[in-house]
Amino acid sequence: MAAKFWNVGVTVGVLGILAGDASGHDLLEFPLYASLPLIASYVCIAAWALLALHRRAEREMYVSLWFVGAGLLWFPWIFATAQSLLLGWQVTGVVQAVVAGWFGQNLLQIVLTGSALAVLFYFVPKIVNRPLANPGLTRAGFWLLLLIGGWGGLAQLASVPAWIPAVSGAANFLVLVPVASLLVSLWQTVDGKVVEAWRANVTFRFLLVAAGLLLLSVLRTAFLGGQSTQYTFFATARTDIVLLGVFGLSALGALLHIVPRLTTGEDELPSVGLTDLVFWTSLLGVVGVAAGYSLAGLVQADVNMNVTRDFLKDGIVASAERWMELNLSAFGYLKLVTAGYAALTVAALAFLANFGLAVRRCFVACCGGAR
Amino acid sequence: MAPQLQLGALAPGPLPNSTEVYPPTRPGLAAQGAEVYRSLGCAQCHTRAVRQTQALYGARLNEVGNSPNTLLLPGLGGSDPKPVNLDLLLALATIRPDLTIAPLPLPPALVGDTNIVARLKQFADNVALLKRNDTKVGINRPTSGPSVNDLAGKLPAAVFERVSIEAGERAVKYLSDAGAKAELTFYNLGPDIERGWGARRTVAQDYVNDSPVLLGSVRVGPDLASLATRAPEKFAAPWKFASTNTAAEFERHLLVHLYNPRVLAKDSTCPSAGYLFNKQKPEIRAAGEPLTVPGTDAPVFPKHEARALVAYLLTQRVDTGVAEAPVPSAPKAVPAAAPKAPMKP
Repeated sequence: MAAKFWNVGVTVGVLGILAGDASGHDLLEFPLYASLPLIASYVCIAAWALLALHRRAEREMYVSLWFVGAGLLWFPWIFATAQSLLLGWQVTGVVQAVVAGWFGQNLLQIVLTGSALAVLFYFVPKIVNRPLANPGLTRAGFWLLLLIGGWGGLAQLASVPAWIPAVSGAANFLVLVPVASLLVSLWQTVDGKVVEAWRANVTFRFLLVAAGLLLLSVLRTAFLGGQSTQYTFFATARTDIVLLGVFGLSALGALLHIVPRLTTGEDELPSVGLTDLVFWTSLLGVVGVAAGYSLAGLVQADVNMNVTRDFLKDGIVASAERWMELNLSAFGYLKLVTAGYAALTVAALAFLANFGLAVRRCFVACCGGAR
Repeated sequence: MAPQLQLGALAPGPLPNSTEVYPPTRPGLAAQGAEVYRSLGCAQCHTRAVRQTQALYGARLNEVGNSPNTLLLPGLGGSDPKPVNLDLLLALATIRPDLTIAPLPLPPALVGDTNIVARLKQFADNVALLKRNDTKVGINRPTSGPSVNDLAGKLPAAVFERVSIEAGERAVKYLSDAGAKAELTFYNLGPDIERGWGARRTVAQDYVNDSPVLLGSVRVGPDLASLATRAPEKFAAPWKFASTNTAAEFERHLLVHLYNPRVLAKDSTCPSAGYLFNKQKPEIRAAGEPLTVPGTDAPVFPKHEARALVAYLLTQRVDTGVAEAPVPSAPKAVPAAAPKAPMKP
């Protein structure tokens, strides 16, 4: 019920943006009338989920549950705070930009990355059939991520007191510690069985790529996410890497595991070919989007800092039509991004088709055909 | 919480030495345009924040001034007697070792004036002393080329441009001690400012009247924080004002950009907002002036939203100095020819 309400809210929000009611804040574009039902339904979802969590039979909570629980508490907090400070009781001036940046960072770094980590920590030990190698390191990584993760995200903000981007840049560096410790803990769990698991399990392939992208995203933000790439596509790339790569791929991997078991109780989706297609197209898509936007961002950053270069021709047009030092009007960095989105569309359609086949198989199994 | 504690109480404040308040409230049409700006998502591709990488200083000489050694000498660069501050020439020669010192000939009319003869003799001695000192500390002063006399002859003159604050203050002190009137100038520097996107960096104060505050995060198009003050030659497709009614021309230019950005800049990636224009003359009385788009025959009629958006864009100016980000003051008269290469003392 609450989930349906959520979907209604999302639909209303998308239509609201198309009707010109976008709020204008990055990652918070939905107008207030779409956000209120979203908050209400999420509070319901979170409340029931936390109640279920409270009444669990096994008192010892596993790592995945930590991340899920943190996300369930974190998202309503940041969403309600940001919405009320931006669209309700509006704060003055650039504090709005600070609030919007804080929300975006918490959404990407804690809620979405946390969900991806929940998936990683659930499936990776399960697939390689080993217990989690280093619970202490994992625990430290979890708490440090919650502590540090939300502070980044304002490193590229201008027109604010200088300490805000400075603190944020430092946090972008510090967050390497929890991410590295969580990934090291996962690596110790799978050590020596990577190739075997990659061949045997499609979900593992998704998760390995997602973990790699997580490391890549925090590394590139820490080292290049400051003033040098301010106002370029480089930051756009970060949103897409976390949303489509880290969260998207791990969620897709989880779905490939869950859907067949939930429908007919089998281990695989009906079409292995389609599953492979989903993996390779989504991998190509995410890599294309990430590489395209990042390289275009570096071209732009160079032009931004160098007044002798023409902003439009050397920056925007060149990043659309350039590949390394070659001038290729047919294939540039930004066109690579478009190709990446196209590949992601193919991946989504292939997954949808496979999902449809699974549902059909379910109907056939249960009631002798969907008649 | 800290940003809110620090910035939350910011309000439009009075400008020093003026009755005006900064930032001023937007007029009604421009306030409506802010909503169009948000609604169309202009902030997805345009930032409204000017960055500054550094600030450098300079010294400007405004008046020759009066000192005991200011002489009225006729026949220098004109027939009228002209005040020449001998102390100032020496001070300029001291701080600018790249300039020559032209000897001051004794005008024939003043040969009998013992006072002036003595002063000029003293000046010549001082110059000789200075030159000897130059050789001692290893300064290779040129023997021909621009001289300190030229520099002091055309005021206001930029004695130093784009130097450290120490060098600028030292120069101002030397010039003031010589009795001249000099001031410390400064230069806001950075690619954004050199691109003509604003006279200074933007600060929190600039946005206190905005809601929502749309700073933007990526520059697919140029920065708009100070669009209304951008010189026509600083646009992607440089243009020129054809008449003296620059405001109307600027408005027309922006309307054409909204209608079809490719008309003005061939490579622009900005989406066209043609839906903000009527092809036929609307039936309302306040239809406004039709807009002739270059390269097309039939005029189009901008809708209210288009005019509001342009009015909003024309309020985008970052040319008022505030305490934390001042704007260089313009020299009082036509500035003298600046030295070609900025030099370090």
